[in-house]
Amino acid sequence: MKHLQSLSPPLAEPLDALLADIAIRVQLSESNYNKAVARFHAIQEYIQREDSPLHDLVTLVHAQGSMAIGATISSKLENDEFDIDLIATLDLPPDTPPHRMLDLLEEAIAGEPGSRYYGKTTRCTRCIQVQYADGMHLDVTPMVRIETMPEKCGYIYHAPKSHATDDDTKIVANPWGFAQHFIEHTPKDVLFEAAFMARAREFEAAHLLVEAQAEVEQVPEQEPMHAKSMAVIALQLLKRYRNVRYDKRDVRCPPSVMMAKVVADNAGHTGTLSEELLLQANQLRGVLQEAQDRGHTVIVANPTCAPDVFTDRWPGTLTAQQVFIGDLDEFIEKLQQLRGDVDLVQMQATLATMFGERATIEAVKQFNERTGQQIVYGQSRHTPGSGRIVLPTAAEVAALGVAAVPGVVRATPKHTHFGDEPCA
Amino acid sequence: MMPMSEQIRRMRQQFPAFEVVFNGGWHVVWEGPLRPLARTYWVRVNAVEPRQIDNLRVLGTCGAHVTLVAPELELTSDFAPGESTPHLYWNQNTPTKSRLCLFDPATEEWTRDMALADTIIPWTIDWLASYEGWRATGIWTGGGRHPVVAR
Repeated sequence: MKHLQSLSPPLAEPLDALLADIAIRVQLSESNYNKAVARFHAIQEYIQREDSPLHDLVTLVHAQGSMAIGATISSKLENDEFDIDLIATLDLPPDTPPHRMLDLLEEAIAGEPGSRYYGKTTRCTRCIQVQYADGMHLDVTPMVRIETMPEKCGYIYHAPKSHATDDDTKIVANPWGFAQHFIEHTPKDVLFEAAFMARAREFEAAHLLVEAQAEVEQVPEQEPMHAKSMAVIALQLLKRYRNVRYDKRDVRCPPSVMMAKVVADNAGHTGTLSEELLLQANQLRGVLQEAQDRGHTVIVANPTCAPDVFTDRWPGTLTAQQVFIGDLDEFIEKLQQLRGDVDLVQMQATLATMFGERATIEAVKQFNERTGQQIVYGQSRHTPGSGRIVLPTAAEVAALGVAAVPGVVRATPKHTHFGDEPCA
Repeated sequence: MMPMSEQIRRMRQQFPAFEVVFNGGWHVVWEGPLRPLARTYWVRVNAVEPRQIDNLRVLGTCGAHVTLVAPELELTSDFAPGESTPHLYWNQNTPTKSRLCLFDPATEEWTRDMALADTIIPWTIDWLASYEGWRATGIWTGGGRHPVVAR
């Protein structure tokens, strides 16, 4: 019998494997990412066309928010709808009226009847949203650079109506600076990155037929989009949980960027995905509870630009804040249960309440298929003592020299389950 | 044939949490925990050596068999309506004490020369993982075959 001595690979625990597989199912796939990048380049080019009101006035277009930090997830529970946020930096006077700023961008994108984006745009309070037939949205926010402030810091504009109102205002923001801060504070672990990337690619390969029929657009060379840190996956899962909880509530939900700030503040201290998720949920809850205890709503600001307050539109009231604290209490309790002695049936039921049925059921089904294949092909392995089955390890992780769980791992001899036809 | 004393030694070495709860020399029973995925199961392992008593040859069924002690064996899955748990030697009187079908006797996957600790126990781990998967999805992915039963 072959003995293998090795270090612990990432995603070796069933719960971690399932959490990763759920994240893979709710996040932006590589092909959708490529599509988003291609659309971003197409819009960038389009708003600068010769007959655009912004011709020669667009100095930079860059991704912001979840797209810039690799944490995009579907905005809907049962459909793959993704919101991609872009910043268009415009060479206009900073005191341009907010509604006028949005007018110009709307005209530049929507164009004339019959043009590319005509009839596919919606004017929001701070951005122009472009809708695609496949459910993807691109939110383009106009910005004017503030030269006296750090790199890429500028004004964004808030105008609830298409005419001037007393609510119109301009807000200092630096989404680019925050994205850099987040990336720096959520370092990647080579083994986790390899394990997650392998699973994500395996999942996407299984959906190749669907992707082959999708719109194909060329994009420039880029970093592998699934090369993510454990903290980013934890953030995606927390956002997914928030989306599940707020799906039926007709109120504003806690902002992703606030959650991202807390995750960046606390990343890199844990060894497994479920530990990371638990830590981040506790930290987020702690930040909110501290404010609640003092009788005020939380204030979380951009660490690269103090006037850029991420919590300017949420929670608004202590009641709204308490609702999300309650959600996080429930999340933490469920996650702690899942880290205990639970079977796959209970795990599936609990995870479905946290992250939605579709993603969870698919993840458990794939987990079951992977485990079963090992047995059928005589590749099953186990850990003496605990009696653990060793979960399939992706070839990419095995190639890095991490093949199994700590201690001695034994190959299980091939066998065939046999037996009577069960009596009904 | 591997002597029972050697079976006991190997079980103790590889699965120290398993205890011998009965030792009749030619019939030994162990009980112990296995945690294939994230739930702990207590199983009972029976091993019986063939014996000659006077003119009677006493044979243990398959030489070794495993039943679930705790939690009690679930016989259905919400995801496989109308079906019963597959790959069991069905115990008509007490279905929850049905023996787990771990190997194919027709192809001699297990013989009395083999250590339980190297075969029966790891196969129980596989069975339990397949069982959990079946209960959660209604699909038994761990493979196997059923005998053709004349009814």
